Amino acid sequence: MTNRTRYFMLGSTLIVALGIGTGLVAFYNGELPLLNSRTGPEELAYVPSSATGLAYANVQQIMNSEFRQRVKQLLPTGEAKDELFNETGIDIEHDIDTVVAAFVGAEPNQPPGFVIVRGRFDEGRIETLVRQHEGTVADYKGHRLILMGGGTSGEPLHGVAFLKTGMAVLGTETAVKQAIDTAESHDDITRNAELMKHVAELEGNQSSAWAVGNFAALQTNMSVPEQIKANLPPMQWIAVSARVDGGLSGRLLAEAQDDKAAADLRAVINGGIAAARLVGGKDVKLDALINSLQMGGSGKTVELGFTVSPEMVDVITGLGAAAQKPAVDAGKK
Amino acid sequence: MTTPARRPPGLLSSSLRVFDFSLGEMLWSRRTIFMGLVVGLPVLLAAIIRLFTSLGAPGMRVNNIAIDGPTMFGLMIWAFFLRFIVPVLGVFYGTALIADEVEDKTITYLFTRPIPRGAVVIGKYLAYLACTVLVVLPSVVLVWLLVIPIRGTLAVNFIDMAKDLVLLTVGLAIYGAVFAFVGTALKRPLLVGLVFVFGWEPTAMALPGYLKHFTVSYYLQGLVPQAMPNDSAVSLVQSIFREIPTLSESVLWMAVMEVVFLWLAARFVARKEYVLEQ
Repeated sequence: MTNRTRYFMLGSTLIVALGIGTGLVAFYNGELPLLNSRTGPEELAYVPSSATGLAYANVQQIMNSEFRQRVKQLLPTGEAKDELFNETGIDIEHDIDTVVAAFVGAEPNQPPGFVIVRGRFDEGRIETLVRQHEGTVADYKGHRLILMGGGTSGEPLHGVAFLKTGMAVLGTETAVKQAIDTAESHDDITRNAELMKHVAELEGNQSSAWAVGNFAALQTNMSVPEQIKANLPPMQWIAVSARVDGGLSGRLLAEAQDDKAAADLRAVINGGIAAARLVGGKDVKLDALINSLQMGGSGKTVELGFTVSPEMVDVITGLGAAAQKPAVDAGKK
Repeated sequence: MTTPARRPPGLLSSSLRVFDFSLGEMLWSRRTIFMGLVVGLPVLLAAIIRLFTSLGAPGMRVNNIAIDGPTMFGLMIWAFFLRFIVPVLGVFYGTALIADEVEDKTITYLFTRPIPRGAVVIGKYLAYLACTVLVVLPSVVLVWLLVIPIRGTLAVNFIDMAKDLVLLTVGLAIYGAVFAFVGTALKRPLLVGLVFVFGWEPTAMALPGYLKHFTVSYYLQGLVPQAMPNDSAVSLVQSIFREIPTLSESVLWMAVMEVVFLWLAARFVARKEYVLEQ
């Protein structure tokens, strides 16, 4: 065997060994960040693998969208928004970039979840505000944990912790601590392959906002009346995504427990669309809106898509403005 | 005083000797350039996809649904490796193991050596297997490292990749054994091999009934961890009539094919009278 052949064999074996070694390290120790273009936002590193639901919103994209500018006139100005700005210095429109909400309440006694906000915060100002309202500031695993509420009423303490510059987690004290613990243990949601499969798909659709959840777990934990629960179709996963640009487009995806359940659900939705057409009557605008709904999916999946074009937004905002005008006129009189 | 006569080497040591000189010969032949191009294409494609994804380009979409890295990898394993590269390499290399020596009129030099004739086939077969495995597996690993991180995780997909590596090695071994036999027993082995791979196998797999049991792909494709894509009309039909053999059934039949065809190839070479055309 020539040296050339030996070098080739060595090189080839090294490539295979490198791949298998990398895979083994990833398999036993979690992901390798350098090699991985991470699925989902960075905040997922704080969401425990046991989480049953996730939601994400790119607030900046939504705020800056043409769609939002079009519907702005219909939105309330909000005194609460100004109050928040005066007290904390946070301007929701400009200072919040993204929001991630995690539902981790797998058991009834567990905290329902937490919200991770990314943006620009005046940490000192927020800390002072909390202290003024009898809040306390503690250190938890190297993070400033600001706690408030609770006390004698028996309600859980609520807290905020700054995970890193420009990233804060909000929730009950237990939930906030759980987020910090998760990042430390690396036992995060990216290890939950089933949920991450849906997240990857939602992300791939370039959505401005999305939410995905294990339907059975959410149903168990949320306070849904028994009567409604009994009539809900047997679904496993439910995911919803929306893309906001000039218009608004979205997609609702449900994964039923079996093909029959999915077929039943599709029939119910089709029935609902048909009923909406009847109620809409000869209203061209409503008819256009209903026509934008698209049913799809096969096997266990049920998919409902919708698109609100920029022209349709103008029509709707026109209607809204028209509806608001008499009220304003009445106020003037 | 007489020196005792040297015992001729056994089948195993003779095979290893043939393997040793055949590997270099096979690896640096013109056929390897073809193999390099064939296995380089998926790597190049994976690198381009990864580059575009890293630059923020929207991902690939099928029916308005984004395709993530693991799905893409599964498609590449099916479309490139299982359905094309493995059978084609088996045909091109397997049929040429003895045919090349006959064509180059060098078979007589091998047969004049004091080694069992069957060792020539077995040694050359081992060289084929080493050569193809050394080229195909790194290609699969590189594709995996490039593609999986696109909205996928290496940790979750590692087991599937390990299974793919084993399956592709097994596939190369079996196709190689089958076509080594074809190369020794039939005239125009390349044509027969291509008809088998691109004619018989897809047709038998698409038909209902027992015919698919007489293919290699039936036992091999049933063990692939990734879902079979419906990327063509033939695939769609195949998926409709798809039966998946059990693991033990697949392993048993693949082992039988490997041993039987290799043994037949060695036996044919041992018994056949090669008349070299002048």
